[in-house]
Amino acid sequence: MSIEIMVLIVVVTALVFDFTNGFHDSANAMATAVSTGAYRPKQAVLLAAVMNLLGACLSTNVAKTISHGLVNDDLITPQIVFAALVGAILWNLFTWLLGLPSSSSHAMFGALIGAVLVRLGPSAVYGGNIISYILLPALVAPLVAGTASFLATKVAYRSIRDIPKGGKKRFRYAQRASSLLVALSHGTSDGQKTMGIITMVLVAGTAIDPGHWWAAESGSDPHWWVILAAGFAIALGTYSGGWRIMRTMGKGMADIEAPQGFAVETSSMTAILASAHFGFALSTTHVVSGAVIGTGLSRTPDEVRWKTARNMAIGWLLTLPASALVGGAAAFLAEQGEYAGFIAVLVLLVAAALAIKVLAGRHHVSAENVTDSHEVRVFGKAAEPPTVPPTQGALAPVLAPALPASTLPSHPLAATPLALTRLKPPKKKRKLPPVPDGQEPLPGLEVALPEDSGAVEVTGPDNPDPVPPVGLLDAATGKTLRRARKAEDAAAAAPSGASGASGRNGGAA
Amino acid sequence: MTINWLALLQVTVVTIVGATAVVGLMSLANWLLGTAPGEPDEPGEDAGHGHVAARTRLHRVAGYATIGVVAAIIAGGLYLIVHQHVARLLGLD
Repeated sequence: MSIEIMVLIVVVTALVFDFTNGFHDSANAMATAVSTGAYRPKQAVLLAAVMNLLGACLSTNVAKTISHGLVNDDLITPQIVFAALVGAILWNLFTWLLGLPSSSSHAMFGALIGAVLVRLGPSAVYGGNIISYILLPALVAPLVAGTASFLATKVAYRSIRDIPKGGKKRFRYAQRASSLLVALSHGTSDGQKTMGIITMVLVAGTAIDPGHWWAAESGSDPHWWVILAAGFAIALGTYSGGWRIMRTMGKGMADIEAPQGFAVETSSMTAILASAHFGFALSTTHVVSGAVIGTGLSRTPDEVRWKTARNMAIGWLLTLPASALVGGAAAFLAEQGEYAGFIAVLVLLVAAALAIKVLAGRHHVSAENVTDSHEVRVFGKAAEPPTVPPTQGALAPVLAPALPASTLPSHPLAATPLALTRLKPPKKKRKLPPVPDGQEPLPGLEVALPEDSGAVEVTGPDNPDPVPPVGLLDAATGKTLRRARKAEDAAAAAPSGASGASGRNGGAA
Repeated sequence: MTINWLALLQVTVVTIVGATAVVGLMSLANWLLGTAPGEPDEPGEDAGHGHVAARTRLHRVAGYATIGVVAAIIAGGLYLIVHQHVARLLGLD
């Protein structure tokens, strides 16, 4: 494989890693702002994307080393960087699937260590620095940010105790500013990381075959296109949301109110700025996660969902060895054959990413439902809506007078499990299937019998308004059977007398 | 293995003191504005008369001034982020 193609593949893979980094970490800045309602979800990710782009373009202080002294940089080749990127991307995707906030930097370092161990041997890895650059910061960040957030939350709630109207609204406004700063600082640190990786690949490629237009020298600033590409990749990733992690961060660890959100973001921002200033790099993910736990503890320990916190801590512990394992395996496979191994790793990466995407789709979390629950599920059946008997719940005023209790048990439809759920009003009417032969509609009712289901929708003439935003779902499958008509349609279609059924279904007359 | 314990201590102190101070100031502003004695329930309502109105004005001025201080601190943080990187860009670091 020519060096140009290899460099191109590694650069594209680095941008994909940058994208995953963006959606993995968008929750850091915006999860609490979304959960408290300071920003709407789409608004939040758009602003975070812009701030990340700005931050990435501000920062051109590309690290002279992508490994912070964890491995011998002089020996790094494009193949090693590629294997490391594969390990980091897969770990990012896996933790995203589980909804676990974890450090993308640590995933990258772990995968790099694994790849270097396989390709160059243990002598190229500086084990002592793992403690000072990975383990200690991972321990310190949540403790420092958590303590600050704990105290700040105490102060915030002390102030609103005397305010008759609650006084949380102003914290929500303040949160809008603080979350933007967290996003900006994230862009400056993580955008730079990918620029460093790409520049390192270009340097390594130049060493093998100099004279290309993309040639770069060791220690040089990144090309302008590298800055722009990295900035846009992280911004696009941020805009795409990472809703699973946002749910865990904003709702999964603790239920957060506006004063707590402001405390979390202020603590995180202070910790990130202070650590950057004093040269003690802390992971944004660890900082924000610690701050969320701190604010939950500040109100009451019961506020914190310890199961989620425990899973997250396990994820942090596993990040280094797991990504090292994948990075090492990728490095081993990539060196098989001239370029067959390289292509095999690429194919496996795409296949694994697609499989994770499919798995995530089973319990989809999006901007629309990110704050609906605190749980991110991967396996098991889709969550069922609460089952409500036809004569209970939201439609009871409509159904109860229309369906006498004596009628329901004898009717074959009565045994069908029905569930009621809120739906958006229908955009267009769907034609209903006719009532099957031999099936009599209930007297005085309009009965629609959808195909392949036993569920019904009923509209009594005495109740012309069938509550438009309410539809019927099959509780077994969760599939929407039919949406309710708008009130004016019901009024127009309903017969004047109570004796006949509606003609909407043809055979019902 | 080199651990910069001094930097670690500095980060810890600055984070705890800084975050608590900023949130404390915002809380003070919130308290001042929220406990103004003549604060109307709806916009356009009378804010009281005599000393009640005066105290309400005082609460408002003090409250918004404190919010200004918080905004200035946040702007300072923004300046720190931008300045650090612009300085590096210009070779001033």
